[in-house]
Amino acid sequence: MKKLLFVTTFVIAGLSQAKNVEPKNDKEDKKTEKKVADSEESKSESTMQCRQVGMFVWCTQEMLSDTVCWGAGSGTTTEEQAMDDSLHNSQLVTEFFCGGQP
Amino acid sequence: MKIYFFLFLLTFGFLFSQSNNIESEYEVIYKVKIYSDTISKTYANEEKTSLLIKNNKSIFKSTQKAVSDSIALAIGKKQWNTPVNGKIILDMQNVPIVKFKDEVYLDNGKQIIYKELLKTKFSFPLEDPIQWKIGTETKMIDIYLCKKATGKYKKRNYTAWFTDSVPIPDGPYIFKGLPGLVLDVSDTNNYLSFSIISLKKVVKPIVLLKDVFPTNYQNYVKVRQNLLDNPAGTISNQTGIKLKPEHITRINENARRFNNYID
Repeated sequence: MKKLLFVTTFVIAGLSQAKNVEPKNDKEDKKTEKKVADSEESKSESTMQCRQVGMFVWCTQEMLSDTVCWGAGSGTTTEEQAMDDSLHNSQLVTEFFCGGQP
Repeated sequence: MKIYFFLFLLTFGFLFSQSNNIESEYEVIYKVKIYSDTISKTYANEEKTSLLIKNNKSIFKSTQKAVSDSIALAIGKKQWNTPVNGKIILDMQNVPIVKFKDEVYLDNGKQIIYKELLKTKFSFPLEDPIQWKIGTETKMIDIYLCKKATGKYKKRNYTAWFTDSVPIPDGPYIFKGLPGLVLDVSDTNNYLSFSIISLKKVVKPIVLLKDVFPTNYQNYVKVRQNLLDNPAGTISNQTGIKLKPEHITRINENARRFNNYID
C-alpha cells in the first residue's frame, strides 16, 4: 500500500510536470524558429528607428504632431510597443480635447 | 504510512493550486449612470457594466472596456500601416470612450480597487468597506423583492436595494457585503447609480487588470489631485506632446467639467 501511494504520487507529479513542460518546449522551439526568421527584423530593432505621427483631434480639426521612436536608446523596445503607446496617447488627446473622464 | 498519505495529499494540493484560471458561474449586468459634472448636472453618461461571480470571487468592470480596446487596436493598426506621405495619421474619433474605468476584484470578502489615471493603472485595497444598515422598507425590482440598506463611503451616502432571493453577498463596484445580491444602488444626490439589467448563468474568464501599480488609497488620491491641479501639464508630461497655450486652456476647462470623482 505504501509503495502504491508512493509510486502513484510520483507518477502524477511526473505527468503533471510533463504536461506543464510540453507547452514551454513548444514555445521555446517556436521562439528559436522565430529568432531565425526574424533575425533581420531584430537587427533592425537593435538600431533606433523613428516615425512621424499626426494625432487628429476631430473636435478642433487640428493635427498634433509627434515623433515616435523604438529600438536601441529610445526607451521603447519594439515597433509594436511604440504603436500601442501612440494609440494610447491619441486616445488620451481625443478624450481631453473633446471631452472625457480625467 | 501517514507520511506517504501526507505526501500524496500535498502533491494534489500543489497541482490544484497551479490552475488559477477562474471562470464565472454568474454574470450580472448593471447600467451605470454617472453625471460627469456635479455642478450643472446636465448630462448623464450611461454604460453597461458586468459583475462576473464564482463562489466567493468576482470581478466588476465596464463591458465597454474590451470593446473600446479592440476597436482602438483595429483602427490604430490599420492607420499605423498606411501612412500618408510618410506620416502616420491616427484618428481615434470612432473609438468609444469608456465612461466607467474603475474595476473591483472581490476575493473572500477582500476588495481590490483598480483605477486608471492617464497612462497609469493603480490598484489598492478597500480599507473601509461600507458598514450597511438594513432597514425595513421593501420594494419590487423586476421579479425580486428587495430590502433597503443604507451606508456611507468616503463623503457620500448610498442607498442600496438587495434581495434575499439571490443569496450572493455581492454587487456593483464596492457595493458588496449585504446578505443578498445588490440590484440597485445610488448616492443621495444621484450623481452615481447602478441598476440591474440582467442576471444569468454565464461562464466567462475572470481576468484581472495587468501592469498595475499597487498602492494605497491615500497615494492614489495624491496622484489624482496632481492631475486635477494641472491637467494639461500632466498630459503633456506623460505623452510627450507639446501643447499650445490654447490647447492648455481647452484641456484645463474640459477637465474642470468632469468633477464627479468616484472614490
